Amino acid sequence: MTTFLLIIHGLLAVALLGAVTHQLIALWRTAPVVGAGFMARLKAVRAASYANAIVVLYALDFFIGSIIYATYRVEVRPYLEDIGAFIAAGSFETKEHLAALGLGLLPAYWLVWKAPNFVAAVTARRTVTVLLGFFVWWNFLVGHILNNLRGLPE
Amino acid sequence: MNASASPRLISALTVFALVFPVVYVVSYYNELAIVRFYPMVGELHLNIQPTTFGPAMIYYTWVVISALLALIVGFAVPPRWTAHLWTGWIWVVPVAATLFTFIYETRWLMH
Repeated sequence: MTTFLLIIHGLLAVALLGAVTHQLIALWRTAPVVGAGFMARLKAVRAASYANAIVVLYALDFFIGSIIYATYRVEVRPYLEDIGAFIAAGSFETKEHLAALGLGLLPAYWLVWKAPNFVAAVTARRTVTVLLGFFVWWNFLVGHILNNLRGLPE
Repeated sequence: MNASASPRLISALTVFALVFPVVYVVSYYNELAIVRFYPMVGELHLNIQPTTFGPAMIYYTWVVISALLALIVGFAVPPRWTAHLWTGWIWVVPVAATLFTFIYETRWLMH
C-alpha cells in the first residue's frame, strides 16, 4: 500500500510540477507571443486557467504525502541518521515544512489569480506563484533524491 | 471557486494566508505538541510515551492547528478590516516564513 501511495504521490507531483512550471513561464511573458514554435506555444497559454487545477493537485498530493510520511519517519529517517546523512535528513525536514507552508499559501495563490481585488496586484501574483513553484520543485527534487537513498519499504 | 467569490470569503482567505505561516512557524519552532502520533504503533497520545512506542510525530498537530486557527481568525475578522490591506502582505509573510525555515533547518549542518 505504501509503495502504491508513493507512486501516486510521485505522479501527482509530476502533474503539479508541469502545471506550475507552465504557469510560471506564461506568467513572466512580457510581450505578445509571436510565431507558432514550441516556445511560443509554451508561453501563449492562459496562465490563470491552471490555478484551480494547481490548488486541487497540491492539496491531493499533500494529503497522500502526509499518509506516507509516517512510514518515512519510522523506516527512513532513523536510517539516514544512522549513516550520518544529516543533510539528506535535514533536506526532508525542510521539505515537510515547505509542504505545509505551501498548503497555507494556497488561499493566497488562489486569491492572486482569481479574486477581483488582486487582479492588479502583479507583484503579489508573481511572487506567490514563484514561491509555490519553488516549494513544488524543492519538494519534488528532495523527495526524489531521498527515495534514491532509501526507498519506503512495503 | 470563481472570481465572483463573496467579500467575506476573500477577506477570510486573505487573513488565512497571513495567519497560517505565522502559527505554523511558531508551532514547529517551539515544538508545540498538543497531540503526538506514534506511527510505529499507530496511536495518538497527549503525553510522551516510552521509547518502545517508537518516534513521535507532531507534524500533523502543527498543520491542523495552523489551519484551524487561520480559518477561525479568517472568518472572525470583519471584511472591512481587510478591505484596504496592502496586497503585498500575502507574499511578504509566506516569504519570511520560508526564509526563517531555511535558516532554522541549517541546524542539520551542525551534526
